[in-house]
Parts: sequence; structure tokens; C-alpha cells
Amino acid sequence: MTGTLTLTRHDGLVSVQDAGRRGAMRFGVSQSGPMDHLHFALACALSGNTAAIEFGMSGLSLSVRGAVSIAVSGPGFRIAVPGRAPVEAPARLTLTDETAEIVAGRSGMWGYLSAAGLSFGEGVLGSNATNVRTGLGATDLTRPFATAPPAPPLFATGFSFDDTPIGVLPGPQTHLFDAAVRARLEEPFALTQKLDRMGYRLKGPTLTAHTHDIISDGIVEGAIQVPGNGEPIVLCADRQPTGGYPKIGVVARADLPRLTQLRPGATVRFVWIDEGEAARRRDQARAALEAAIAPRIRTEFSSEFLADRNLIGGVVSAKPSQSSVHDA
Amino acid sequence: MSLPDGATLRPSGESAFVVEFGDTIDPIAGAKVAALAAAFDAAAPAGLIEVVPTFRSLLVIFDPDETGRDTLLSALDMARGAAEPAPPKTYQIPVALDGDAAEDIDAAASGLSLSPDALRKQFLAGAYTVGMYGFAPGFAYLSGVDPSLAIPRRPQPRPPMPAGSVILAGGMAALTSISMPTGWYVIGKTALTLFRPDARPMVPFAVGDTLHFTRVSEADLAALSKSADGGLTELP
Repeated sequence: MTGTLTLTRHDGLVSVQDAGRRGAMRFGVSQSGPMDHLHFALACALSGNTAAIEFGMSGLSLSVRGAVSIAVSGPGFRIAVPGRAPVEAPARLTLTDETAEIVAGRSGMWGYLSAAGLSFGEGVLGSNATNVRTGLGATDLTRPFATAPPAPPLFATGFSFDDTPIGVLPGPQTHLFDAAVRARLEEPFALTQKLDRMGYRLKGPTLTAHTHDIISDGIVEGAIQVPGNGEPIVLCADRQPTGGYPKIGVVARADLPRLTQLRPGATVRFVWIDEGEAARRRDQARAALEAAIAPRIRTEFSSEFLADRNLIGGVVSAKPSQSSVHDA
Repeated sequence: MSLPDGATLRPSGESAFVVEFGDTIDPIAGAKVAALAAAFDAAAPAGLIEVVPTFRSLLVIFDPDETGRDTLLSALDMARGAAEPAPPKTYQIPVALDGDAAEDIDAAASGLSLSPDALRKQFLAGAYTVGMYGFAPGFAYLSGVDPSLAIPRRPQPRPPMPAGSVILAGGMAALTSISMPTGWYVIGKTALTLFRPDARPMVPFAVGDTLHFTRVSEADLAALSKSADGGLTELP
């Protein structure tokens, strides 16, 4: 028996995400993709899909006709199904002609809902990722989505993000900031209310550059740009592909989810790292993802569980970096 | 591994680097960027994700678990000479410079201490180079604006203007591809569609192409907007 899934409540923070659009930044097309690639990968590993519905702090509501296994991940989020005990994400559970509410906890900004067979159609430039600003990708989130046959429930371990400082590597305009200003990036900053899928505005020590108006150049995910007011903005998945403010540094890829999952008002600390340390952190993140999929309630090692573990390789590159010892 | 003449290598995190040619908008730098982008396209080394050319720099994005900066630059050395960028083309674009199509032309003229007609004349006399795409899909930044038309950006953004507008600010012009608020001045409107994700190429112009504008009435522009190409003509 298969079923359909319909979103019955969703706000402007809800979008479809997949690996995003690559190769068209040169034509002005944003990359898009998940705000937290680790929790996204976890939801995908639980569903066996390559796309998921991303939601923000207000969660979403859904209803299911027939039987659908939903996979949900996201720090602090839980799944509330009427008549059942709430289930903490990450989990995969089967709903049969039921409704569910995904609710945020005391921490966490972004979560993911996926299901086997959940499909969003053809896509634009190889991706269904919703880009609200430009209208690309899946925009109709109200229609019923077909899904594949359900799978057994699985309550996964998940990540335990620590609060070690967020690694930052040099960016293309680091040289426009004096050493004393670069050092101030390691002082505490606070996340402001001004955050969305394009970027997170921070408040803290003023970072003054030699000039705040450069000839526009390309912007990578996690770049920390500093406009004339000296207040840094961390640029995220839906950032514009080019920009004319100096970029003091770039957040390490493995650490970006820990930053984007913080809420307004939270304190963020950065630390300058080099490429070797960034590679080590990527290896660590891969290991953490592998551990995150393990069941937290281990009743038996079902063949489905073992199959799920094998899915990880398809979601995140399992290749170790050259500069580290990989212990698989 | 050797960099092209006049190039500076800049970092951009663990999965990208930037090759920079000076820090001003300069046609020679633009040509070097286009040549380097073409060389990367032709070499297509393993692990390269994409390159992003701008007025004076090339952002090179790669998978750090598969390759690195030195490997990518070496791959380029081996492919050197094999890739020449396509020669730039020249186009003529019909533009309306009156009424609703040019909502801000009076304000821009006043800011430049010109009459609106002098602004129109100076704008039409120019030859513009497509310097880069950015900001939004198909949003084209143009260099070649006469210094007499170099107006600073507005202190506050104006309400959204339609896609296909010609906007002016900061010593540059741009062709807009989406409707959005802007700090630039809207001085004209074209009937161009600047981004077609299903077409190849997705955009009508390559970086480095030259654009001339020819004035049409708002009524003529309305007729042109029913055509597929918005009246775009390639000049010999």
C-alpha cells in the first residue's frame, strides 16, 4: 500500500531542497540547497531520497492518505501525531490516514522532512530547490505528493553539535582587513533577527576594512561579507552569486550547520583555521553523520537498518581527505 | 603551475580560490578573465565544480575531497593554448527611454546636472560591454558608461521595477531580469528576456560582448515584447 503526503500548514521558511544548482552561478543563478547539509543528509539517508522539504522554527503540519513513512531530522524538532506519544527527530515513522505536526524544541532553526518516492517533478537546471527571490524550483507545496511504499520505523541517534568555535578560513578580501581587525573576528558575535536563507547578519565588534566597496566578485557559501557599517553577514545557500562587499573570511563547510542552526540572540564564536583543519573537520562531520543514522533504540539489527547504513555513502562522499587518517 | 600575467591568487575558503586581475573595471582584465574561464571550461579537470567570471576576477569552485588549487592550476597548464574564448559579438538592443519605461530619468538627469535629453543622448552614444552576470539569473552588469553618467546609488532603494529595465548607478549600467526594489536609477526598458533556463546558452549575451542601444517608442517596445527576441539584432 502506498500513500500521498500533503502539507496542510507551511510558512515562508518552508522550501524544497536538494543538492542545489551547480554550474549556473556565472549566469546569476544562486546555488541553493539545504541550510544544514548534515541534517539534510540524515533525513535523506532515512528516506532513501535525494530531496527533502526544509522547514524553519515554526515547523509544519501534514496529512497522509494511505500509508507513508516520513523521515524527519533537525535539532530539537519532534513529531506529534494525535493519539500517539511524541517522537523526537531524527526518526522515520509510518503514518496511516493520519496527520502530524512537526514542532520545534528549545533550540534549532532548520529541519527536514523526506519520504521515499517523494518527487517534485522536472526541476530547473537539474534541481527542484525552491528559490523564493527568483522563483526557481518547486513553488507549489500545497499539492498532494505521491510516495513509495512505507519502510519500518527507525529512531536514529542524531547529531550532538558541540559549541567549539566555528572555523573560518581566509577569503578573497581578508587582506583588506588589518591584522588587529582580523583578530577581532574571534571575539563573540550575536545573531540578529535579520536572518534567512540568503544570509545571517551578526552584531559584535565592528570590522572595518580599508574599503567596503569592491568591484563585485563571486561569493561562496559561508562567506562572511562586511558592508560599510562593519557588521558582518554570513552568506548562506540562497545568497546572490556575486557581490561588492569585502569578504573577510569563509566559514568552514563542516561548521556551517552549527552556525545556521543557532537562533537570533545566540552567541557565535569564530576561530581562524587552515585548510588542513578544515579537512579534519569535514572528516569528523562524515563520521558524525555515519553515527547519527545508528538507531537510538536498538531492538534488532533488521536488514532495513543495515540497508539504511549503506545509504550514507550515496548521500555524503565517503572519501577521506588526503590530509587525514580515515577510520571507517 | 603558472598564473596568467598580472594575476593574483586569493583564497576563498576550503573549496574555492579566486584569480584576480587588478581591482578596477578594466576591459583588458575582463578579457583575461574570459580567457581563463574558457581554459577551465576546456580543461574540465576532475573535481572542478564551476567557475564564476566577474569584471576582474574568476572564482573557481571545486570539491576539496577530490582536488585542490595546485592540481587545478596544473591541469590548466597542460591545456594551455587549447582554449580560446569565443570572439565577442556586437548587438543592437531597442530601448524605450520615455514615460513609464524611464521612471527615474528625470531624477537621474537632475542628479547628474544634465537635461533628460542630454542623458538620453549620452546613453545612446555609448558602447557597453557585458562585464558579468550576478545578483539574479540573467542580471547583466555593463561597463562602458560615460563618466558624465556616473551617478551614485540612491540612499534608499526605490520600489520594484520590471524585468528588462535598463538601470544606471555607480558608474555602471545593468539589464535587469527580475522585478525587485533597487538602489539604481531606472532610465529605460527593453523587450529582452535575459534568462531562459531551458535554452542553451541560458542568457543572450556572453561576458565580453558589446551592446549598443537604439531608441524606440513605448508603443514600439510593446510590439517588440511580443517577439521572441525582443528586437535584438546582431551587428556585423
